[in-house]
Amino acid sequence: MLDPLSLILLILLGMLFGLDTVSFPQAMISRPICSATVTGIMLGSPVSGITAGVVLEIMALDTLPFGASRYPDWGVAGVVAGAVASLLPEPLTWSVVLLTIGSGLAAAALSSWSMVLLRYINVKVLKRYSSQLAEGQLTAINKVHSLGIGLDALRAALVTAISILVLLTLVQYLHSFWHASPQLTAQFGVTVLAGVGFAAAWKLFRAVNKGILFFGAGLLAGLGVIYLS
Amino acid sequence: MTTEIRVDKSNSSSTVIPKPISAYVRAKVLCRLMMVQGSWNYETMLGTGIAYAAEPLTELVSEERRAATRSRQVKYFNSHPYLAGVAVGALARAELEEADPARILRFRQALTSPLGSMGDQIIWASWLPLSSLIALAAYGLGTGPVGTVLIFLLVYNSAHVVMRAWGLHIGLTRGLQVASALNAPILKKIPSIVGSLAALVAGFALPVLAHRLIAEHVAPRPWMLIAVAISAMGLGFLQPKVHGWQAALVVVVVFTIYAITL
Repeated sequence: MLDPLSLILLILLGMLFGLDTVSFPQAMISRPICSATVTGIMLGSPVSGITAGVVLEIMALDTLPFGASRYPDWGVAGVVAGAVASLLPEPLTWSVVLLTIGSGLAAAALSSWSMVLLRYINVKVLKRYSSQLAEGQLTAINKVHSLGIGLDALRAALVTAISILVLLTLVQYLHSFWHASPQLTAQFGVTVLAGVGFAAAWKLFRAVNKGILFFGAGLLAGLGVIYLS
Repeated sequence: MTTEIRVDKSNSSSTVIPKPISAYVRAKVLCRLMMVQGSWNYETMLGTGIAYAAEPLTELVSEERRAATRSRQVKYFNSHPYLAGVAVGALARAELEEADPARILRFRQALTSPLGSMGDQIIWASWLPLSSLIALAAYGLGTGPVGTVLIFLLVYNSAHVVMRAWGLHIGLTRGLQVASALNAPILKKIPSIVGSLAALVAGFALPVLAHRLIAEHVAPRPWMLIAVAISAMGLGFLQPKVHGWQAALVVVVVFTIYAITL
């Protein structure tokens, strides 16, 4: 179960990865493949962590942080998914993977909304200091900027805490009542992942001249490697 | 290392101000550029971030012009964060050369669109997916958790750091003439080259990844293939209104309700 120390650690991780999404340093440590895996490693379940990271990374492939567009904070989502995958009872079955995906995506939705809210709050802060900024006061620039970063850290920490406390409890409850057959659950999980993955790949190669040929060549190579192994 | 700021008098209405920019100042600006989006908002977008990142350079501007420089820097500005250094460098150089303020504001406005679209195309739409897919393929081929994370971070950040440093360098070197550097043919070719590579790696990564995730636990059924084809095509047409993760959240919730009420 989740002890207070682990909860604090997870909130700090959520804050760190959440900050990376927009504010600092955008080195993409916030991508699920990194954030969920590191969370799993921290909780002593690297395999669960990387599994959560990989499945969520497939989901994240087609959402890119374009300027003013609305996109999820995958850093927080990755921490939540990594924690759920690591803290649910072993073994790592497809029901656990599906619940991991569900909780990660729910956290992604909440974080997406929280980032929009933060941007409006930043506007209010900006307006409060507008006259000092118009005069070119350095202290106002520093205050507005550091407040923005501080509020983003707070946002990421809050979303992580709420998501973990609510979703982990919910997911543990749902897992104990999971009655679908393991085979059907696995088939459903694979279908969802493959559907989203191919849609993202299609988006990629549609934008490139002769992209379908490159994709086809890669597909043949991948199938060849599987056949040889 | 220092850079002597030289003024092209044929293209600028500014006065020559020989000011060396030390490596220390450049490093400080580069560090501050890492948090250029810290106060991102719907009104001035990157405005205050640009002013914050440029501050070590603004301190080199003459004292009587410094406050006016800051007040110009906090105004509306938007660009890809990794290319914000181009604007910071070019605008700072223009201020150091004491160029006409109206010209600086016009130049600032003109930079917004190209820096945004170039960065989006090179990084968000091409390099980031390519880095993710390389890491996913590495995992599919048997790489462990730590190895997969390291591969992703090293591949992605090799371009990230280079782009930030190049942007600041080119901005400081070219000043108001930076447009010529941004129009270099190689920069226009990068998205298509990286995009082709990403399509190739996507084709390779998806089957090897599926092979590792599925292992022997899943018996494939024809309905799965049909569902994958329909959902992939459906999502392809619905984008950007509906993203894959949003559709996935809905179907996972529906299946979970089904699984617990059986």
